[in-house]
Amino acid sequence: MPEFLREVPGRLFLVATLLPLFAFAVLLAAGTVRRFRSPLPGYFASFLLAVAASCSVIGLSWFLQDAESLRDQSKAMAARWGERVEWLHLGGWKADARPARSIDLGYRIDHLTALMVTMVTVVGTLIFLFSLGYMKDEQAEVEDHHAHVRRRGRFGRFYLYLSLFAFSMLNILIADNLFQIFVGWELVGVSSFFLIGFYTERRSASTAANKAFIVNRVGDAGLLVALAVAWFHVGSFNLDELFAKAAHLPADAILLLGLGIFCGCAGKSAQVPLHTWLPDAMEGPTPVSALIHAATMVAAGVYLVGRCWVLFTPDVLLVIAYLGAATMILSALVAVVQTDIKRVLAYSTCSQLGFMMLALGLGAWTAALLHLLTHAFFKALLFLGAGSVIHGLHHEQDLSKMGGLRRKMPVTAYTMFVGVLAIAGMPLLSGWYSKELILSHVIGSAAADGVARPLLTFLPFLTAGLTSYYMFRLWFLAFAGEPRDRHLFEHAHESPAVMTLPLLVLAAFSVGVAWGWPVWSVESSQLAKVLHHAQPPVLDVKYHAIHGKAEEHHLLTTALALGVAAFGFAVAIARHRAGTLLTPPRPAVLAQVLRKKFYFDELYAAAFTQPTVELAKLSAAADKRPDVRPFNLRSLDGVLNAIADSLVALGTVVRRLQTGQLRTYILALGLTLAAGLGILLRLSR
Amino acid sequence: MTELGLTHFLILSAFLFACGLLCIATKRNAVGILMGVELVLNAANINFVAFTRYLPGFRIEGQVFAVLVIVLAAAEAAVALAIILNFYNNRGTVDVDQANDLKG
Repeated sequence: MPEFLREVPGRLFLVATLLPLFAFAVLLAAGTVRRFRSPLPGYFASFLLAVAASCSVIGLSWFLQDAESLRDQSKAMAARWGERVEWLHLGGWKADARPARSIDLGYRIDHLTALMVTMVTVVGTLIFLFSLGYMKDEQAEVEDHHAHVRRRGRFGRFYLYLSLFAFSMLNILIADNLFQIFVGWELVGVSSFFLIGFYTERRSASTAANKAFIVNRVGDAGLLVALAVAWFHVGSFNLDELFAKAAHLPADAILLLGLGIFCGCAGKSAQVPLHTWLPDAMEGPTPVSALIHAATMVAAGVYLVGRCWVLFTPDVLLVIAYLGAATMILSALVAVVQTDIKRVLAYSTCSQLGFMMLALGLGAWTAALLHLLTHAFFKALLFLGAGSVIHGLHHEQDLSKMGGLRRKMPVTAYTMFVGVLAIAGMPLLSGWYSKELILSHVIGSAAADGVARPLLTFLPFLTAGLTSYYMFRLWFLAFAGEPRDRHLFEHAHESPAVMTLPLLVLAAFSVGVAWGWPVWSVESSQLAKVLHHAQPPVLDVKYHAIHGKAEEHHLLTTALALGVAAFGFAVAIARHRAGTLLTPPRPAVLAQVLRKKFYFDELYAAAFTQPTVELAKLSAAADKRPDVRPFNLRSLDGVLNAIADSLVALGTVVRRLQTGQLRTYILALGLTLAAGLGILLRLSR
Repeated sequence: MTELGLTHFLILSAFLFACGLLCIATKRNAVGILMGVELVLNAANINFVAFTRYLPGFRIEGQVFAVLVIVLAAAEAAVALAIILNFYNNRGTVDVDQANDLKG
């Protein structure tokens, strides 16, 4: 092991972060070479990310060892697993009495970061590999049937964006200060923008990219406010300093700080009311949806809420919980009627993110972040499965045209079934552990808190049932029964090994990532135990009572959770047998509301987009050249022209005075003199 | 027959001034205008001298100023004649109505 790693093994994670940046830089330079068509960029970027993944796996195990052996020496731990350099030095001049401040760049590894970095790099590597197959068409010239254009392939550019994304995401994760997180936050946003709008020729794709970017800006404005509050009141962006001084901040400052951070997280993690961009983001290539809009980027919001948990006051936590609950239930309901395979998954992602936010709001820190990790694996699996289906069906995404595909693409079908089981909460699969932990915390908090919050208790169970229903519905529609489109079915084929292999690996992760011994006990999940080390110590004290109650009602929770999941499954299978999975729910009004996604898009269009467009049109009209001469006061040019024209008119009148005749001047002079004298005489009388 | 007083001089001065002004205003010949100007200047000179003579507050200021104005008038005449000469060379006339290049 090189010397520079032995002293500070945290640099392993730094290397893991910088490798994708290196890939990005190289691909950017290589992109200037025209007609660079080969799978090479893909191999290169995937290889570097695989190296990064190995680095972070090694780093993770090293970190766990270290955490064990240096248990009580937090200083030594901090020195070994974190570094800082001053990036910007402000103040401290002679005349300035205020203390000098600095903005640092740095990283700090704890259990959460180590796990998250490992998850992102591992899932990322698998998705990079998958994309080698999925994006193969981009290596040659592409005929885009949606946009009716022929264009050059963009294989290299795809990996360029993906690498940029991987770097920014890892940067968010390892950063030890809000400033660096914000930089990563924006970079993630911009790479997401590039990737959603990857098929730029398609109008829907570019619109979706704009929408995602703009909606995220709304959230980022909140994060910026939080940054300002932190800088003003604490004078530092460093997270540890912030946490230490949080208790001494004025009440309104800490409230604003918390709400600002959550606002940013709500934008990134697609929480109501900023969730509308995520389903539209499915316009991007499917591996992008899997990596960015399911497993990692949208998880950044949940991660940051978890990371900054101690900065949230109880009020803010309640806001988080309620918005999470709203997102969870609304998205789950919409997912029930979607017929686009990717959109079902998109709404499912929204719903699961809401579930995590709810858990964080209720203080189920470990459970929420455990769900974040397990969800990343099985949602990546589901999305890649969907990608495999879309690839096998020559870019058909409509569930109503599928059916019976398990005979044509068995690997995809059965790995996806594992994913469906995991997300539905089948016991012993990874999703079960995290879901169970969250639900038991929900029950526990309902039992322990004096305040009754029926919505927060009831909705998670309802959502669990709905999740189970719509996921099985998706699977049945795609893979079971008889094919509904013969032509499509006959041309369907299983994807190549480079695509099915990541599916198998992810399926294995989805099954076993949360296992511990004994396997049947939720509490013994190894991943949860590791995560628990990173949990802010306040939480243990604060939620002690809840944990007790949760233990008490453990059996009830399990029974309820399994019951609703089984009920969802039963409804799905009954409707599958009856062949009514595609019939819209009754009454018709409900179906309409669900199909319109609760009218969020229409509402925003009416409230924000339309007025903006109208204003723009007005301004444009005001700036147009006026058709009417001489005077048109309804436009800017018209007003300016009116001023100019009246000055010209005045000039034509006044210039007649300049006759050039000496005599007229003298006459004027004499008359003026006489008049002046007359006035003087009058005045002096 | 009354004694000559300040008023008489002032009336003479005003008469001269009016004559000069009228001359400037009505003459088309540039040299004639120049003469009018001389009349106006000399009207002022009479004023200066008369005030010094009749008002007790002054001693010699008026005379000094009158000499100054005479010198000024000489200089002015030199410049003005030079202009007129040039104008004549260009236009072949000394009619000031022809000098209307600055007409707006």
